[in-house]
Amino acid sequence: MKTIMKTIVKTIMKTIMKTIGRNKSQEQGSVIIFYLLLLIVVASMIAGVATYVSGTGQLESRRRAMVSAQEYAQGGAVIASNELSQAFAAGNFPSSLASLVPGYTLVSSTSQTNVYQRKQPISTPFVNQTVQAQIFVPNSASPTTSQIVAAATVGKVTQNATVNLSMTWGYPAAVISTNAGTNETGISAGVAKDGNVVVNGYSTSSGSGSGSGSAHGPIIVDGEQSDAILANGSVNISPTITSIPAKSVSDDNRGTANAIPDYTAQGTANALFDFNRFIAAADATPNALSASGTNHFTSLASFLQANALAAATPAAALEGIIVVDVTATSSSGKNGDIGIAVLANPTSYVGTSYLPAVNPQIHGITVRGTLFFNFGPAYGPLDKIFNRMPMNINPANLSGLNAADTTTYPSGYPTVYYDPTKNPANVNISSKGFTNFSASEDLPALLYSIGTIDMHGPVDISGVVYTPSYMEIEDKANEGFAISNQIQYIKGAVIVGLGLYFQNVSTGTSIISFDPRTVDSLATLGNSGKIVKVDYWQ
Amino acid sequence: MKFPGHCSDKAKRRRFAERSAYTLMELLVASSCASIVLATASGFLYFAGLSVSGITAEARLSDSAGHAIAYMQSRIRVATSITTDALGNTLTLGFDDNYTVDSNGDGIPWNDQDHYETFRFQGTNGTNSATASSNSLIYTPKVGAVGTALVPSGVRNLPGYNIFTMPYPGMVLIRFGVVDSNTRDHFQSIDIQATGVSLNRPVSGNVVGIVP
Repeated sequence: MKTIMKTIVKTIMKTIMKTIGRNKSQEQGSVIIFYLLLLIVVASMIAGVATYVSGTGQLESRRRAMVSAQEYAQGGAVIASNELSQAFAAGNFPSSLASLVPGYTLVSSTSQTNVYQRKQPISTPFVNQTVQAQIFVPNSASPTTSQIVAAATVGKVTQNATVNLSMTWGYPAAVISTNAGTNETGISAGVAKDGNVVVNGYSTSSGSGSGSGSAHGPIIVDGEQSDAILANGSVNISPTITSIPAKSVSDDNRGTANAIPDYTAQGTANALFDFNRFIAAADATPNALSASGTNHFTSLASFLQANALAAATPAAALEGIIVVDVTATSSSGKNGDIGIAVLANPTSYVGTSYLPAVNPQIHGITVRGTLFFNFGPAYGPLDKIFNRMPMNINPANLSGLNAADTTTYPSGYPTVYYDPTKNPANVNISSKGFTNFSASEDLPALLYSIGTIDMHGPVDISGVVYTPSYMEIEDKANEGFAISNQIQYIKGAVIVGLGLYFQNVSTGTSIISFDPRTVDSLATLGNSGKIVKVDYWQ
Repeated sequence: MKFPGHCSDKAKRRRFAERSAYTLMELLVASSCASIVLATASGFLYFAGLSVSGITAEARLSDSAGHAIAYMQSRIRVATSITTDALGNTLTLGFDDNYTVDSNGDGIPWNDQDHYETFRFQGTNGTNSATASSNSLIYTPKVGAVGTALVPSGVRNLPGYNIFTMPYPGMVLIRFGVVDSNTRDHFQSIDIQATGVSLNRPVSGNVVGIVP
């Protein structure tokens, strides 16, 4: 068996050896081919992986470039926004964009939009990177919006950042007081006259605030999402009033970075409103009910007579910008203008031409638009006229008002005019040297040039109430028509230059509620009080 | 006649063939050498394969995670609202589809939420590499729409963190890992931590704080 196996193995081996021996040259070639194929397989595999990894790396690189470009573009847009803000603050916007360093050049203009391009790409504070910026401004006399598009290129990737801006009221609050005020802590009218804001809810007969509190009607200052009260001076609120949270009050801002500029300094470039522009509009607005034939009344008496007549018309109100000259020769009261006496004691004039014939206790003074009391030289900042007549300016429907629920606070703004010819946007004052009011501008509801109309009766005003001097709003339900539970309601903003005294010591309801719609595009002088604000990014 | 020392060609070839055959020892040595070479080559190929697998997995994870985070940040940047669920697994973003229409009636036309997009972690929370293979990150462009897998598998939590956290309004912290569950290439993984900030956040969302 062993021999047989040996023979078989020997035979096989010999056969193999013979075969190998015969094909030695082919065998050497086969090995080379084998190694070549192996090399090709391995090389292909490595090349494939390298290509994949390289492609992924390139993708990552482009993604990094994209993210970097996006960040640079956003940074450039922010810088361009700051430059736009500087140009806006300088006035004469948007022409002032050219005055910046390096400035912007008008590169395109259509009836809709002007396009300004930065003369040099933004390079600071970037390192080895530039960003090009363009500003798109509506082609109008006083644009209230703009758009900035910034573009940055990193590597082969270009990204844009678009930010939309608006020029809007910079001090959103229900009550804005610009006076530096004092450090007094009392809640009397005297403290308010020192330039502070006082909200008095004590139930005292004198209203001095020195007595102990008892039940009083709601007295609310509602800032919505903004501050309730924003003041450079002190804000003193009766402890019994819980409806005004401390966190909604920003006071003692004088001398700080948050101080409000004095927009009540008349005769300066910083004045909030151009009173002469309003007077020009009233002069140019026809009014058949007026002795002058226009919306400019030279006395309180003539105004009240026209107001009484208007109550009987389909419009049921005087409309447009109404200017009333208060030209009494004595600031103490009644001399020279019977209208002062009518406002102070309306019940004594029921049935006369000075009060509406029907329901004077409701119609009182009713204006749709702007009412401007233009005080004469006899009046100083603290001189006042008592008004016990209802004061309705852009009145809201208060039938559903619930003082405890701010969502029920209605508004009569924006003004809807019965007679379009009274709409200030349709009144041409360019011939008088003033820019016409545009439909996009927000007009104030009540203006005083100086002095005070001390409102003791019902109030229903939607819009901005402004005086460069002192203001009193007091719920005196037992005076005038003695309307029980009377409402003093202002939906908009109250802006004062020499303090505010806001009092409710009776059972009525007193509310000042902020409405941003009334100030967003306020028709201020030279963009006073407005700032450039980012609305949204795209 | 036949001359001594001479033979036919056939005989010559036979003798040559017999002389040129390998001995068993030669064959064994040659076989051993060939085996060593083949084993070395196989080992090289095996480990090269592992390395290639690891490299490609790492590249894939990096690409997948990078794409996911870049996309999330780009959407968060222009969102008008940001919310997360209690578990920190779902990020919901609101968008204003028309900046000139005030859909919510608040007087501001550019802060509405006309449609919502979600980024949702789908799977089992945890850091376990083995169970992460069935976890994914799903992007849904609109409520009710079919979702797309931004990261189709391997998503996991980072130790001690939710995937989505909102320390402040308008800001979301995104933390997640992506792991390749293939055990042979030694669990390639990548960890991502990033912050998404909405440029369209409400004013109340403007804060100065420390990111936890």
